Amino acid sequence: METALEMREVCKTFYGEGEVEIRANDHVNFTLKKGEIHALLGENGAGKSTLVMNLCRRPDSGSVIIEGKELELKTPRDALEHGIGIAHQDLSRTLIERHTVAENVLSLTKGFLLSIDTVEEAVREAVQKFDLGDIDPKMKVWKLSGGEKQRVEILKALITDPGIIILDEPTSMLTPPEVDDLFALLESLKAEGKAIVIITHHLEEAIQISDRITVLRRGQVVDTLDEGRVQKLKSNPQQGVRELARLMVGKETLYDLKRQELKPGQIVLETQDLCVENDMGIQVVTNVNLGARAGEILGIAGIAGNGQRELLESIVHFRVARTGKILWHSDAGELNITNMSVGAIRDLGVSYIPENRRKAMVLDLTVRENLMMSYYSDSKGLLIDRDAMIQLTDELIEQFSVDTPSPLAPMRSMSGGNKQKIVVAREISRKPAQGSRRLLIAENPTFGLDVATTQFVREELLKQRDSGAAVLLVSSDLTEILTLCDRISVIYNGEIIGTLTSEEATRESVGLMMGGFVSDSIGSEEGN
Amino acid sequence: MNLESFGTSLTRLKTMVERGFGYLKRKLWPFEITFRKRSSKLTFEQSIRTRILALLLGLAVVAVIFLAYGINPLVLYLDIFRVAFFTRYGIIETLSRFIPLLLVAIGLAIPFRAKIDNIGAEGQLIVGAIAATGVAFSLQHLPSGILIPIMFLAGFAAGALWALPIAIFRVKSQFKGSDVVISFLLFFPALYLVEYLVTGPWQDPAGWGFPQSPLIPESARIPLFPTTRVHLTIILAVGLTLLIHQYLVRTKDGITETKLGYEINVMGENPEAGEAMGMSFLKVAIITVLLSGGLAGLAGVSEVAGNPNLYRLRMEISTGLGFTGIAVAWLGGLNPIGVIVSSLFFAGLLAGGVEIQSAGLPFGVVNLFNGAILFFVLVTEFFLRHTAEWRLRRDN
Repeated sequence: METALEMREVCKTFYGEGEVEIRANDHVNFTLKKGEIHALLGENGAGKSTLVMNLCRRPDSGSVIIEGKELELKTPRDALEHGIGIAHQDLSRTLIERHTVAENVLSLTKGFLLSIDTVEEAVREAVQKFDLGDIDPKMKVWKLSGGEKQRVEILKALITDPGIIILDEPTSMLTPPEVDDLFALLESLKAEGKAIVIITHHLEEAIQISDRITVLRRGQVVDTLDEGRVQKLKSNPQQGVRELARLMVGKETLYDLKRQELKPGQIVLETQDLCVENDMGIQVVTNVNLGARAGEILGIAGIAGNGQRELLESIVHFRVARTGKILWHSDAGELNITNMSVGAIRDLGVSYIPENRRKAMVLDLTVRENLMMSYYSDSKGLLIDRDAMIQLTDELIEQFSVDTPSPLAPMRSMSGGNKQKIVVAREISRKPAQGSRRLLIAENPTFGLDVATTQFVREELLKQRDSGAAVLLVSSDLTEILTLCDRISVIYNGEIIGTLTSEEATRESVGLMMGGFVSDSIGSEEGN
Repeated sequence: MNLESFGTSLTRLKTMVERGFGYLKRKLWPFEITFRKRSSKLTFEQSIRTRILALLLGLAVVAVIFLAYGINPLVLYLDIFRVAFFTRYGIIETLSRFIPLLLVAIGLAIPFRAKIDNIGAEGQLIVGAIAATGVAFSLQHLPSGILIPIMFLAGFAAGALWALPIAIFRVKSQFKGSDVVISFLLFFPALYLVEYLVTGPWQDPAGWGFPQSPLIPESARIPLFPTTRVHLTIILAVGLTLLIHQYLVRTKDGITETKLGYEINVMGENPEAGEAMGMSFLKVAIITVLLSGGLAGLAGVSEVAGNPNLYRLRMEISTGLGFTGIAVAWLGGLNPIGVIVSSLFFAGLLAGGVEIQSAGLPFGVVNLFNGAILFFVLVTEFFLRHTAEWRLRRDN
């Protein structure tokens, strides 16, 4: 078959908050043939969306070849003009809510003098042609349901009649019958000779619809399954799902960390039927019941964006819990800390290592000022006890061997690993209030770190556990969860869909649960 | 030709023009500039040098205007400084401008350090002056030793109250820059309030209808240094500035004296991190803004009760001191000691401004310095924090 699109040695690096370097695409090779459906699989952050975005903004290096010609596509408009239709994943950023369906499509058209009637007519025709159900072109987008919006986005990808169609997570909001309709449509487009890329992390869907599958992990291509292998997966989907899951999450050797035997103590923090809304007012955490015990690491595993952040923010932060309770247990008894101020909660003995490094440090202040952020308020009165702070910060730098020329060096000049060391040193050295246990909440604490610092952070978390603190670890890194946690709760769509002990948990079982599968058979089956 | 094909040909034309510009740009300007944040802070001398450069650039821009009027700017500048700092009249006038300018500027520096913009010191100064006048007339039977402190307290309270909404909008509103808008807009009610008072209830019955209040009673006038027209508020202003330096700004071993000083530093750089660590941005915003408005209010009191040219409430009580203070605060690097120096400098400019008039230009030209210098100070502020790097374009 003829090649429609080829990407060679494509690299794209992002610099995150706190100057974390993320290699979203690391020398990726990808080919797309005409008349095929090619699935891109991978965990969140594996680089799938980044890869297709390289078609409408230049990658750092590498080449994009369309129909045998090397092209430089700098803008979405360039992509459109070269016959590429893309339906993006994040609808809140690609659809203009205040505009009508037709007005949203209008942005794809060329020329100055356009009549909205023509566009509306074109939308009506296209909806009919592609059988996208009931979409009124005059309807404002904000009035549409999630599934309807998704269909509008798909319509936007198809209406220009492109040769290459890219659908980024097109099924996340669709109902099962709608998914079937979409797949039927894709089959017929394929028969017309279109080249189609579908991005998903639903493994069964990928097996069901695609001719070839490329699996990405951490910005690199793990494997491209050709037609023969995909056919084999189709013959035994159960087995196929497992094989793909393994490819997706990898088979890294777990770090060898010394851990003492589990001695779980009393419950330190408990949530009861906690419901939390995100910034858009949509409930993203539903009836979560958790109990973090002293001397234990409780892991919350899940693909990013399943409500973990909102859950944590409602515990430690300024996000308001809608319903439900958050309780703090100490020798003094039970205390309801729901929606208490950040400072008051922290004073009880809660430490927090946020995923967003920007929230954890102030880059333009010195190392010392960053270290004393959690301690300066212990001084009595309005003044800061300077001698105590100097002693404390010098000790922390010494104890955690932070590599800095001086405590007065600016935070910005530190390496990424050292920055996180400073945050970890500060947070785990806090003393709890009288009669309380400590609770350490760590949110993807090793994200973007080098191997040595990753090891350091994990060892410190274990030390905390062994010293009797309760640790709540939220991570989308399965290796981390499996290495560290005594119990693992899997969060999916804002709900805890299962809790496994460290003995029960396997890479596969947790990986599948992260994708929304609750199956008793998977957990118990120890395969391959 | 129908409309659609007309549209298409327009598109084509647009593409051609764009391509042409793109080509020209590549040929004539084959560079890209990237900005990076500096990983190390500039040394003290470097930052002084940059500020002086900003100052000189600002003066140079105004010099162009002087040149256009056929006046030699070098001679004029020398004249301004000779008058402002080397004549008896000039020094006294400089110090008399220095007092309100320092109060306003040091007040503004505090919220600026926490990245809260208060550009409405002019309004806060006016309400401070109104409060002082009100107290002076209603409690005029009190002896000076009690009356004047009450006037200062009332002025501080009025200015602080006038500034309070800035803090609330800055923290609670979703719209970035609401502090700028609110603080500026609050200037207008203050202005209309003073206009109403001096043309209405407080108008001097013996003033031939001028929009001004009667002279305030003797007991409400701030004592002058003997044989000068400089009043004692100068001690208060410098004293407060040094206190602010000692407790909010100065660091020893990288640590400020007070918790508030540290919180201001954190909030100024990264409020998100501060809040995650349990600090309250609202608290910091309210305190800094109250101090700022209060100090501007004190400047208003010092003008009404200390400036022998006034001793009364007038509509043009402020003459733009509140706005000049913004440039003064930035030129001083938001550091109290720096603000003292830059206040002296700007006070000198205002005092020596008579030379501009005698050179045949309107006095308003003095206000050009504010804008020009503020502009360059803010630009250099950017380069104090960032580096710019030039390099040849990749696609060339």
